[in-house]
Amino acid sequence: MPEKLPEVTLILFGSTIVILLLVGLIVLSLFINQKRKFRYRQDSLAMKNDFDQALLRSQLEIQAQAFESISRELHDNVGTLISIAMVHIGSLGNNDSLQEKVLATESLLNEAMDTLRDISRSIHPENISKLGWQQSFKAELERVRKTNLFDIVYGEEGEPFPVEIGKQVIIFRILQESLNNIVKHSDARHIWAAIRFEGSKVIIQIQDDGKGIGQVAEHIAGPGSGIRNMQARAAMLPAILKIENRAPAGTRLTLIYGEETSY
Amino acid sequence: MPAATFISTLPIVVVGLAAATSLLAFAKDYPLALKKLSLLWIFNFCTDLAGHIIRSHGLKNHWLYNINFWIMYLVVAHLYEGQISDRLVRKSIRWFYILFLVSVILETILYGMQDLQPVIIVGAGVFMVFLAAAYFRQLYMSEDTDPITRDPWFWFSFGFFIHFGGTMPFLGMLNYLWAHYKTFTNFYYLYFSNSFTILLNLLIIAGFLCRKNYQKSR
Repeated sequence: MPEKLPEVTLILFGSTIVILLLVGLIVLSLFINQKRKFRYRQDSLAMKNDFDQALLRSQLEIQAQAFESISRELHDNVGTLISIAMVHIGSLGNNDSLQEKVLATESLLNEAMDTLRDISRSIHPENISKLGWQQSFKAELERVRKTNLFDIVYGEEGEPFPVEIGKQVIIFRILQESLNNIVKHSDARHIWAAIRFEGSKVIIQIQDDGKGIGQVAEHIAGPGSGIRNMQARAAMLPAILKIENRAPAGTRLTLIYGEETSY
Repeated sequence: MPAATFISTLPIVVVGLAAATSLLAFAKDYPLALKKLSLLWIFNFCTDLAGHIIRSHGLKNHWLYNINFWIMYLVVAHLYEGQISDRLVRKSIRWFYILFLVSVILETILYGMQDLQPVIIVGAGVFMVFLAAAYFRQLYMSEDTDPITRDPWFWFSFGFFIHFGGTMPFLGMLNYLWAHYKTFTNFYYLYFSNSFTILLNLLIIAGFLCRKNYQKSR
């Protein structure tokens, strides 16, 4: 440039540089702000997850305490009443005409007592911990089989691996809920249950030949319902829970728990 | 090709590229605002090309750029009216339409169209910078955590801010500089003003390419 730069050109360059610096600062602050917002959202989500987990744990603890209380009441109160009734029945005497009725009543009361004991054992958390989830599940299958409403086929393969006691109770509760749903809603005749251990992973499947989950899911998937409870428990383990509607061939539940499903 | 010719032709090429890229707005069902901006950019390219052809014939082309600026400022203001949610800013845009049209009429009557209209260029340019800044403010205050680099209006506003902010002082003084410092004016126009134009169009291209999946309802 041959000419000397006049003042006006210095103003020109100066104003241009100032504007460019301003733009740079604004864009930089936008990026910094967005990073901060993103980090804040991540932190909020993490806090919400922690809160939800803590809430779920409390709910499950309250439930466990309730079950314990019911189990104790069944055993102590109802069981005692049935025992006393059996004693009274036994002391009715040897009147021939009453003997048949007495024997029939005794048999019914014995059955009631056995069922009561089974129910009490299946809901008491300590029993589940003592037996382990697998034995408790088998006991639950046996209880359902005794109703004579279902044909049950059970199979297991592989080498079991140790599971934390707290998680054993949760696994059992999921399977127990599944069996309760089959008994209450499915109109099935057959139940197939299989447990397969693969290294440090276990795959449990329960299938029935009932009417399928379909529209019933709307009713049982409401707040506080069995399926929601099962999903919440599976999330706590953590485990993968799949409930497949195979109507008209029933429903299949698959629970996968192990090292791979952990965080 | 001499360096000066190459440098003076480069902005046209980049504007053409931006106009071609903007056609994606029609091909990929982009939101209506981007389609309108695409039309504006195609118009921009056509006037720029016409301006170069007129100049190559030794004729003055400022009247064409005056028309280009009028349409550019009005359309950009209209597009921002659809993007900015702040009530006061939208009100100011409606006032801008009225004041701008009045200024155009007055300046055309008083000074004609053969020279660039500095009052309009500076005034409207300041307003464009204000709108870009208002959009940045909206982004800053927004609770949305989507990356801002996926927002086309972030790129457009970045481009408008740099372009209008950078060229406004020069264009506002162009008539004076052209009359008194022709060599410097040529130099500044060739290297600085063209650089801002190239940068603006590169950012416009980035805006059209930053995101390809838009929901149909937008």
